Amino acid sequence: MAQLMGNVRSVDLSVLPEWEAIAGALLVLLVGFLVLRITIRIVMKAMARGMRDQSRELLRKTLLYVGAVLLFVMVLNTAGVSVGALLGAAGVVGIAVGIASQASLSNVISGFFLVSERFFEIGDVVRIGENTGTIASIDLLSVKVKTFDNILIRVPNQRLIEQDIFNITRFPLRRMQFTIVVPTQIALAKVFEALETAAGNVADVLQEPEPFIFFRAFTENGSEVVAGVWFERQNFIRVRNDMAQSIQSVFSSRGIPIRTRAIALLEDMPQKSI
Amino acid sequence: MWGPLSFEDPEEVAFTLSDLEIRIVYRDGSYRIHLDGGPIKNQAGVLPGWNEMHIAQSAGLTLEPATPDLPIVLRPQEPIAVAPGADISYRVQLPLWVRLVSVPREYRRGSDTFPLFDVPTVALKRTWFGSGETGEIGYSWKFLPRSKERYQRHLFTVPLTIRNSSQSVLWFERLLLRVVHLDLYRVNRQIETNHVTVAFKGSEQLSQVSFEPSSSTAQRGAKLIAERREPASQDIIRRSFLWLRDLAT
Repeated sequence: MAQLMGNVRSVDLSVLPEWEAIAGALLVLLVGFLVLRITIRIVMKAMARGMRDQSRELLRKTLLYVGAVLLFVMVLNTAGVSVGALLGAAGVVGIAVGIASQASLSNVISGFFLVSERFFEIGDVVRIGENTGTIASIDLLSVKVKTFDNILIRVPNQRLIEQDIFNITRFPLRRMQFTIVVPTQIALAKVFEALETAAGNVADVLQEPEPFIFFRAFTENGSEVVAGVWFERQNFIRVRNDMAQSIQSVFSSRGIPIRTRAIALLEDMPQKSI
Repeated sequence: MWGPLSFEDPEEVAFTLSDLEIRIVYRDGSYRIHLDGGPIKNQAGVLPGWNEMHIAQSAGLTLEPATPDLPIVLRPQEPIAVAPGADISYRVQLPLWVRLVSVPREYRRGSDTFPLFDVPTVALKRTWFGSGETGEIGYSWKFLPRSKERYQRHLFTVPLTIRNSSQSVLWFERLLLRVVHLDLYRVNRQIETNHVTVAFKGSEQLSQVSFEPSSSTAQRGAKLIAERREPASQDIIRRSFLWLRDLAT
């Protein structure tokens, strides 16, 4: 036992510099990680107040990635690894990876343009191509859109930047149009008055901006009249249903028929033999 | 009619305020509440008809008046011209909201009353005030510019002064009155709010809106019966006036 203890005492840590370096690197990693987290928290508290969700997230990720790279370099330096040689190697690897990941890089750059353009933000309802849904997240490579039938769609940023995007909920107000066709014999003044009453009967239709009603054209089906009403964006479905019911009820009470295209099937038609 | 309600078992109590009908039936320790009338049609979060509620006996029920839950866009019957440096005062009558509350006043936090229902006595049309991007929603209300009001049970009065502090004539066409910041007081049998003064400083500038402090209102012999929906300081600077030309842009 005494011999063993003697052997332990004779171990000189200074002859094992790699262990010291590794322990130092671990210490730097631990302290650096804590410092990085605290710094991010302080910076976010000081700067992110009043920022939009996606800008806050972008700032947080930028701080995190930059801090992580600096910490990585510091850890390697402490561990005695030559950072210069590593950076040289990383440069070669970087070129190879860069060539291989052109599409991803393009998505990242497109993502920065999208965020800086501020055309939409998390929670907005957008129409992209055939799909309509709510922006669930804006990430480095893609934007996630949650459709109203609960499907999550991932749209790569590069594709997004090249196509038309419709932000449906950007403004608090929206307008909805109804096109009504009535027989040409009905006085237009009577139709205008009926549409004004119908709009006035719907609680969610705004008084101002005023509903606008205009004659569009005489068509083969009758006189085409358009009514546009303004409403708050969140009341879309209610206004659509209530306006349709109100138009039906007011037109019916005033004896104004609404024309729709109909196909009549006639039986016992005289047949012609060829 | 305002204040705590007490019931025998069984008992039915009915109230009618303008177009709003409320019936409360107390039987075997539970309440059945019936709401009906034009004002509650399309009112979000309110179900017309019978609503069954089991409420803790100790809590009891209180019927409280309240101001509308959105600002009011006031439109005088005819535009009013106010000369530079002049001021005009009106007593504007607006429709009350009715709240049935089961949480006693001492258990409430701030201005939260946790009402069982919170409904208007008159059906109001919603309208937009300001630009499409930065404006705000409110209820539209046309008023007769009068210096003396006519008592009606479902209306409350806002003593309003409009001061033209600008160098030009003020054509008063639309005014956004933020009633959510007003307390309700009983003065004799009338319900009225703190005095509101709106100082117009020019068409391109924001207006200064001042609310009379509660202490001054109480000194006039008014008794507080309902606290404001949303807290506000005595002075706020906001856009308050709107003209037809603004609506055209």
